[in-house]
Amino acid sequence: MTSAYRNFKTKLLENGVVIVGFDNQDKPVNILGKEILKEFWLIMLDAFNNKDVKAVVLTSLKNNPPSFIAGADINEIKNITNEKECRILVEQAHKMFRTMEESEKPIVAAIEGVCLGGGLELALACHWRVASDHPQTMLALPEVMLGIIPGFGGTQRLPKLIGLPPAIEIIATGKNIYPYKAIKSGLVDDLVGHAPVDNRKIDTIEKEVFVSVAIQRALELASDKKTRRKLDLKTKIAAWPILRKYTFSKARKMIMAQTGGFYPAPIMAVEAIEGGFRKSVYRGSMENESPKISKLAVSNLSKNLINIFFGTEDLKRTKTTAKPSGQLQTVGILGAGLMGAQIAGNLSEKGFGVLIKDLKPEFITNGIKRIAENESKNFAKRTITKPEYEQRLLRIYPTLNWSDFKNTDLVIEAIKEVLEWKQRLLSEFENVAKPDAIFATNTSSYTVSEIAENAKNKERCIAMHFFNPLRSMKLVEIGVADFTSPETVAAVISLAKKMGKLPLVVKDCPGFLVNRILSRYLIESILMIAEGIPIQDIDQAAKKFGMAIDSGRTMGPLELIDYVGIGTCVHVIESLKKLGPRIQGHPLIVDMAPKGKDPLRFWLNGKENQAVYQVLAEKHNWTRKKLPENEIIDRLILPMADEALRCLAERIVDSPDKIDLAMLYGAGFPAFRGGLLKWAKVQGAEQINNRLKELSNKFGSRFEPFES
Amino acid sequence: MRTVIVDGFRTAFCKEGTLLKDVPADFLGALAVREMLKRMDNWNLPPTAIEYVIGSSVTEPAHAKNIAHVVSVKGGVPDWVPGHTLNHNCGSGITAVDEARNLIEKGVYSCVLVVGVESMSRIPLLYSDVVKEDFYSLQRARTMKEKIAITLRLYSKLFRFWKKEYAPQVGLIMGLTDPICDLIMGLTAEKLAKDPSLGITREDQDRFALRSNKLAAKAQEIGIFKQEIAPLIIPTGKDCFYVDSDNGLRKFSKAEIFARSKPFFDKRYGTVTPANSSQITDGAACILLMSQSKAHTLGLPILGCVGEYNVAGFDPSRMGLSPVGAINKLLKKSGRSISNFSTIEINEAFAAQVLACLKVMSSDVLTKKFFSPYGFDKALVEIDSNRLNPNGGAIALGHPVGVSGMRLIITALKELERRGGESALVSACIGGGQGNAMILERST
Repeated sequence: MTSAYRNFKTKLLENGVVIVGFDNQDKPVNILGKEILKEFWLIMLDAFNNKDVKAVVLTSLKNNPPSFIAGADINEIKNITNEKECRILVEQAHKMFRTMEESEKPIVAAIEGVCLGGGLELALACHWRVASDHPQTMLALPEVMLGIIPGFGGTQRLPKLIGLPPAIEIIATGKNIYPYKAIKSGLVDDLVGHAPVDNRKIDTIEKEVFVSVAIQRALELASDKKTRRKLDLKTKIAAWPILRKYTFSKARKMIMAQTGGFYPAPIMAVEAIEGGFRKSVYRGSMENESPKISKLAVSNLSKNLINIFFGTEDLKRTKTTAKPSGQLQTVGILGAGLMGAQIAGNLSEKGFGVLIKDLKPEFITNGIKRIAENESKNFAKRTITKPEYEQRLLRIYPTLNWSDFKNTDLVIEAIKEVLEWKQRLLSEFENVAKPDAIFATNTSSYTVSEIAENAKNKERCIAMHFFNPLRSMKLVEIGVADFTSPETVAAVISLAKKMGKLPLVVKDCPGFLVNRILSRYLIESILMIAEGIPIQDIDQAAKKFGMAIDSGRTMGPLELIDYVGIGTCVHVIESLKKLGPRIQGHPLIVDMAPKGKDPLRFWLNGKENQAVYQVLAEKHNWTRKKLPENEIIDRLILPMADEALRCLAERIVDSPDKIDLAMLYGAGFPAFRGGLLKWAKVQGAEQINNRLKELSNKFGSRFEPFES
Repeated sequence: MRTVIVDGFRTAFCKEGTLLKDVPADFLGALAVREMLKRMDNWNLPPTAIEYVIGSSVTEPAHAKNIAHVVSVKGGVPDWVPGHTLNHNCGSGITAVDEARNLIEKGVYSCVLVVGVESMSRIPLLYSDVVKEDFYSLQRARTMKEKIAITLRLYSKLFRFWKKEYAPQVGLIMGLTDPICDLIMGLTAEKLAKDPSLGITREDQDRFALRSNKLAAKAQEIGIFKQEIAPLIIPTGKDCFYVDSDNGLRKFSKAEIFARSKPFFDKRYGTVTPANSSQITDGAACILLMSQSKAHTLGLPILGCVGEYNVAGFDPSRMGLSPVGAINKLLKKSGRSISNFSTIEINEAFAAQVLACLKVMSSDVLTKKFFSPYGFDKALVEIDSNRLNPNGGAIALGHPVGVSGMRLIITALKELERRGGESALVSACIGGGQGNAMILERST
């Protein structure tokens, strides 16, 4: 066998097994593209025609981090504009995979590291899969997240391998399967403990445990000692016609509940599975899979999602002008409330030491109790070991004394939203801290300049605005004031990255980006109630638009206010008033949160809270009104677009894409619409301006569009 | 080269079955070690400064053997720092400090961490041998028939758990029973209390217990214990709580209430009651020792110096008297007399035992009677009550066996500081018939 391939290296062993090592020359991870598939195909043909070759072992030479195949080249998918072109491409792959599957010479995939999308489909076309239990090993078919479905026969092969219900789950949700789950479900046939290597080369790879097991299996398959695994009874029963029908209808229902019908890909995937279930893999792929993927791949929705994917990747790799000074090991948290505890929990999960300070021990115990409950759940689910569980708790050092902060490099302030308290905290911190220690505030309503007004060393002050609940909200706004030093920005960005969050650098302004834009939406919803439009109608309209759908269920503005707490909303609105008359409160908000009493909620146990209507009737002369749904949507969404343009003009962020991502991850603007400004662009700037002017004439000058 | 104690603290002592009952000993110890590391951090001393760890734990849990290394690594000391655990019953704490001193003075290490951990709430119940045998044979059983037969047999035994041969054995009581004389510690105290030559009455014991409680309550009130206790926030899976003070004190107790308490060990004729004995307690403590030169170079605060140490053997069935022997030997060795010490801490295992020690110390006749086989026949000077356990003792605060010795040392050093004294004496009786004693000095 020759080995004059660019992205593959091969080695023929004495026992007749050829090792094919994939090593993508252009990328840090292995990615399947058109050219690479061609090359791969040549190698395969070579192997099939070579008489010395008894079996093939397919593996990857990427070691740091290990990756088997991280999927198809998304750039290529993005550039597909023609349905036919896509179909030809996919059908070529189908033919190739069929030849692989039907070949007499067994092909074994030796998997270490990520094995995603097209990579997993390639592994599925092999006769045997050996996986190593490296912590990075993970298998998934994440195509639906990009608005497409698996296109290399995944929808056909997977159900036949592991049975219907798990296959539907994997394909329709795109979730990650970790090695121990994979061996249990039969997705891989062998699981081998991993042994770290420094240098992975084609000459020595056969000595690595998972590859040597793969070679062993390949020889056994070649000599008919082993046959492919058979389905067990349970999966066979699940494929009975009645049960099958039930499974599909249940899957559809669940998908509809989760996507609200806004995302066609998961449903299409289920249809492809159903259509091809009784057919051979090849027929199923040709008749059911390829028409569907071709249709999806050229759709706008998929392009939107791919754009967002790339934008997110960019955000993950946010570059900094300066280098953070030194390695950050311990982070101080001031305030052990809801946010403080969540931030501390996240930091200790990522291996940081955490100093958490509050005024009274009770406050800290409450916060730590929350973290401990969370971690003990993780331990009960066996996602972490006992020592790791204990370490996570031990990394958080609670204290009441400032003197413990002497050696801390960075603190995050998460106390109550009272400006004087925050300022006093900062000055107390400055008294004990090192001169270059960073002070990051998690404020939602004040600016860094306000908080740092009296600071001795302003360069160290920055905002790090997290969102609640921290676990699922990936965004963190990094508010940079004029006086913040580049080193500070760099350190905070690197911290955010290490916390697994998406850092978004914004200019210091009231409400930063997300709260500023979102507040227009929330205020408008409250004004609408006061006008006479029922709670139900407002939230329903927003839900129809798809707000917050990506969190798993749609959520209207009033529901969101209930979630955030009206008290917080009052704060944010108060502080945003300085932006201009377009942001105005309403007495109703104050009535909703009477002093000394629990604030009212708009929704109570899934029903409209009648108490709100009572308040309205008593204090605001309220009469029920009806407004057409599209008008409600316009009133909710268009001010956001308007505010986004203002932010762009004020250079709060440097690109419209960032606003789109921020609204997507921070405010629940639906991803399938491509992002706030992208959506606005599709609607047409002229159109929106006119509509805003109309609204302004009808409902008040707050709708007056922004003139640049 | 002298050895100095740089810093030492203990956790609050919590009565068995109260706050700390769900906290495993290794986690509690790790919290204590972490606290020490944080204090070191505040002096700009990295965890790597610690070169060796000595643990003191008597009821070491089954899941964390050599608990010294377990807690040190869990608490944040690098894993290349070695450590061993020592068990010298109730004297462990003092012995551990002495051992650390030996390592430092021989020049092996220059900085040693001593950590004591005891979780007496979590001492397990043990299956009796008869039941255990069945469990093992169930594991070995091959056929289904065998398995069913053994399961049924086992079931019938477990069901009759009240029968003596099937009843689980209490690990705590087993641990407190001396296998040499087959007496539980309380009965060795009874033996002293009933000795006519000592003449200790129930009233004497109760009065002493009351004194201990009153002194401790006063010390707690005026914040003396705040100086030695490190407040901890302790998370368990279900809860998280703040522990900053000892909870075993009978603060508002009166003599009448003590008199009402029933004898526990000799239920009919005894005088040793739970109220005049030490309590079963959970707790931990940490002491950081260093060579004097190193502490001076680093400019660290110094709590005190470790002086001479001695341990003496004695009759196991009267183990409560053993401090007399240990103190006698120590004074002879160091050439000092009782009056040299500003404060004296004798661990209060039982009121009867401390009273017996005091009586023997002050009487030639009694010393001769009990200690002539051991080579002493002259009485020591009487200890005046102002200097003995000035802040109460184990009767009020509790007696987590492996930690008590360390508490005595920390309390004595802090008391020296308050009194402006020069040297202190600590001593403890050790189950099995030994006593140890140590001199501590304020460094100058």
